[in-house]
Amino acid sequence: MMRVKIGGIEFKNPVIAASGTFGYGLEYKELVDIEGLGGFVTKSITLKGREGNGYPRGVETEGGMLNAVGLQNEGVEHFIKEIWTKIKDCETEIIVSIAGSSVEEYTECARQIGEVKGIKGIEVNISCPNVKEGGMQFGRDVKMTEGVVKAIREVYKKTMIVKLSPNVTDITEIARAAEGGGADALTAINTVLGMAVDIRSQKPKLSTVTGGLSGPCIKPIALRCVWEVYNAVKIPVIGVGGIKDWQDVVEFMLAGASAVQVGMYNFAMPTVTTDIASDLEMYFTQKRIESVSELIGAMKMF
Amino acid sequence: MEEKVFTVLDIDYVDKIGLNTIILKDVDGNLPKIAAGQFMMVGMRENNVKLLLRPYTIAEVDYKQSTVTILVEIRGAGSRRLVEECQRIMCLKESQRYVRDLPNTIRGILPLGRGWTIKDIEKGERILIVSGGAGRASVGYLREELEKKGIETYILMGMKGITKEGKKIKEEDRIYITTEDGSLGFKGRVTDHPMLEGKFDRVYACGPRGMLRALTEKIGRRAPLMEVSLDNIMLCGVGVCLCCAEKLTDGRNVRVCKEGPVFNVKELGWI
Ligand SMILES: Cc1cc2nc3c(=O)[nH]c(=O)nc-3n(C[C@H](O)[C@H](O)[C@H](O)COP(=O)(O)O)c2cc1C
Repeated sequence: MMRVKIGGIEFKNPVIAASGTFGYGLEYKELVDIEGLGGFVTKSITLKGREGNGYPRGVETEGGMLNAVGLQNEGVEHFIKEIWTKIKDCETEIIVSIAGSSVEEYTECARQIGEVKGIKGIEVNISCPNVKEGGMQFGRDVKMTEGVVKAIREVYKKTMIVKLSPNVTDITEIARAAEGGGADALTAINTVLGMAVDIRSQKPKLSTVTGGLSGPCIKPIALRCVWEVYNAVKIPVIGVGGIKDWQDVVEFMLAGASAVQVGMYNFAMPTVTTDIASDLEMYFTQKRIESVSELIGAMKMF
Repeated sequence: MEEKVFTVLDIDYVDKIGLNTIILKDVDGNLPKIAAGQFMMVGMRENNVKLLLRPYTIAEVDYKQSTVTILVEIRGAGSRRLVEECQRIMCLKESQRYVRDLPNTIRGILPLGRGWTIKDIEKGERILIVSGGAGRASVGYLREELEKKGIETYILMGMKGITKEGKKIKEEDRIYITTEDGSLGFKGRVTDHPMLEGKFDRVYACGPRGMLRALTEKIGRRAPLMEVSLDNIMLCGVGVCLCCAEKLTDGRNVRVCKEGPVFNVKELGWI
């Protein structure tokens, strides 16, 4: 009833933990029943390790938070050798998020991930607002999006999801470019550019001045993006941005999401993803909904 | 680590030193083992504007009663809400209208982080524990754990000043106090206190960064071991968001919530 297929991956339910908010699945092991999750997306991995930005990197804001972590990770080799071996037997779907500052970095990273048996799919992060080079630059330009997605498609044959940025003039043209480049599905959205200032010290609250906003405060923006993207492409859309309960999930599905991801709310309530999955199941039973597809894009226009 | 539900056993809101002492009782009555220097993430059942849990040092543990004590300094909306919520729960309990239902509880994830290095201490070592402001939360449990092992400690606590209600804090044997306004103990900052001229084998310190830095300058070079507990802004508390990163001397960014909050000052390059 709750199963949903995205590309070649079949999730047991449509609730997935978002990249950067669930580590590599190990950190929450003691608090969350990972098997109850549809899946999780790893923290974004780059070809070489990155130390990320200086402190302070995060701050809570009204109804959300800003972060400027800057893709701190130990590189793809370390991931494959040290991390994947520890998580590969998790009873849930694992999607590996990749990022880079050049097309070559993305493709090399994807190629190496593609050689690992058992990894069924990647999420290409072309929407990280917290790095100087690459990241969101790719996701803000139609040609660059299509270029990088196409290049990855050539070397990566399994499921490829592309994660979009809301910080663009028209998200539909980027979505179409990613679809044209060969993406199997799209994730919308990554964080929204924002900032916060400490009035006492009169300094910015993030070392990078601006950062990415997430949490319930961005939900309407995310919902709008999902709806626009859903209407612009034929491939499935994974909705993310501000989700905290099952009602939010239903809202995203009505707007066109085939599955959803939960980000910041994992921090507020570590069991939020599995709670949502079981609540959603109850809702489906009560409403006699037999498959997720009955809800996807079912919003009624007056 | 585990997520647990707590009820509020007591909140001492007359502590005019600026800290609210909150005693939380584990509803299930089976606290996990907690080491001195570890912390917990504390949150409310019903979130509103501020959603995230907040990190608090576990200031005292009572396994028999299944309680943990935290000291909460009101710094912003999150801590204010937590104190108000605990007061509300206490009022409800006192008025007998309390029902042990979910909204009348506090959520906590514990124990978190790496605590003080105390395993290898030998009898006869001279130990100094220094706190500044809310860093006082780190003193009590550490001292208790050391005394259990038969190790004497010297304590130096710095605060802005105290009022009448705060007078129950007093200088005793081996406990020294500094206040910036001179209302108790030595007038000045902790780093000005003459006792720091003494020789110590280990120094454990918790407080604002400026104080930790000055203390490291003053005494950290001479002591064979000095550890500090950092209070970087934490959002998840369990090592996933990577927001509380601290740069070590070897250039690595580590998570204060996971690899810390206690660090050897040599790792931090403050010496
Ligand atoms: C601390 C933090 C780190 C994040 N890191 C990544 C990342 O590495 N890669 C990525 O694609 N998105 C990252 N995100 C974005 C989330 O995956 C998600 O798209 C965004 O937070 C919106 O969802 P939310 O409102 O549920 O948090 C991060 C978000 C947060 C809060």
